[in-house]
Amino acid sequence: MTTPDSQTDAKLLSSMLVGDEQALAALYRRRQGNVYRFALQMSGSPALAEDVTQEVFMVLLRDGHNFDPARGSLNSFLLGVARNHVLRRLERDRFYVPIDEDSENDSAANALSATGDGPLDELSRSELIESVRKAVLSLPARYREVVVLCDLQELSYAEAAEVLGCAVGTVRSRLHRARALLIEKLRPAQQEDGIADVKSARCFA
Amino acid sequence: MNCEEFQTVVSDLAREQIMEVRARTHALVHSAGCDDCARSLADERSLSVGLRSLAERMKSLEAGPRVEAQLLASFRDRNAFKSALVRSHRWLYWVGAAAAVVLVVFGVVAMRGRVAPAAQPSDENAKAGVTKPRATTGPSPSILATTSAPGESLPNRPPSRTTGSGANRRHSPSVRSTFTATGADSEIATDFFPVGDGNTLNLEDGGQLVRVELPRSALVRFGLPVNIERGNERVKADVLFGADGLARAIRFVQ
Repeated sequence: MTTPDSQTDAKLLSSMLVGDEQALAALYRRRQGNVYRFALQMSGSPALAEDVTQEVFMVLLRDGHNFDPARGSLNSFLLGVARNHVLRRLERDRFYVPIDEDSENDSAANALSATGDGPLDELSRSELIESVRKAVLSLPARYREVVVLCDLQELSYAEAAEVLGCAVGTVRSRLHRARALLIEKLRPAQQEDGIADVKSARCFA
Repeated sequence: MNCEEFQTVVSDLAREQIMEVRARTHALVHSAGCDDCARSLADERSLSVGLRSLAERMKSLEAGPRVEAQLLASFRDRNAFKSALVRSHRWLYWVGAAAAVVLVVFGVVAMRGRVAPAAQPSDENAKAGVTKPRATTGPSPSILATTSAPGESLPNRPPSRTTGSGANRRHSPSVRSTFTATGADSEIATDFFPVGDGNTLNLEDGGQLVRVELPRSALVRFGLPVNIERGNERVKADVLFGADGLARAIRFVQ
């Protein structure tokens, strides 16, 4: 006899929809991490991420029969639902969650320079991660979501396109733009101030 | 490869995505000879390292056990509600069936209540004696009820006479709403139309009233309007027989 943990997502879902609590528990434990992390990386709020995780699985309980395996994986389906909930919550709460741009920029200023081979690398590693996290959170939502999906959740372009409901080419171009924005935000301050000799310009060699 | 082409692949290169070997080689060669593109690649790689570190640090993060507990509790409540709903549906089904039975019983009782008063005079007629009806010269009727005794239940008003043959009467008769002597309260009857030689007034010797059923088309013969589409339907009529057994008059009943 197969245990719930060894069953596919689709099988667990169908069992859950007919009232199998163990199937729900197995499915939740398998997929809640992705959903929670996505919501957390998108919002930066653990409380909101927990709320969204619960809402996503409540949607699965209520409308799980709408899931069509032919249109994508269950993970993509759950992340898609999570994305809608996160964006809705962020839109609703935008007036109540001030973003401290100054402190964000200060901490992000020297982030990229800390990735070198200097002796302070290990010490500044936590700072780097925190800077990157804040830089990601400061991106516009449409760029933030592709970075979260492709770089943090490590989905392929096709899977990200499933979640976002757009073309693969759109994902690629948004990711390219999002990474450029992140690099701008994380660029060392001295380059921003013009101290460095090299200015960023395209060559056509 | 030029810088513009390099920019299209620098993200994939830094993210170590699967790409064509040739394109990768060309990009690396280009970055080796172009400071700007080399710095761009370095920035992209640094960003990838940062993002990977962030992903690695967050990899162990999960929703708290409270969420799972609430979800499972909600699932149990939902299932309990569904079960209750199914039970209530079953209960509704039985209530509906009982209501249907009660309606049928009431319907039967009501029907019997309506039939009983109408049947009572027939019983009285049966006590007085049953006489078989005789055939008339008109269309073959089907007998609905037994006749009354001679002189009994005759119409209070003699059949109206018309000039000429009653069978050829063309003007529309006045249809009056009368309650017949048989006690059928809801019946409406026409005046009596003479049948045969029209000697309908000679009834002193008594007569018999026989309820028959005729094709609706027979109304034409007495000058009554007939809907052709309903010509095949049957209509009730009372035929008045004289003591000699001949039909003297007829009236139509609705």
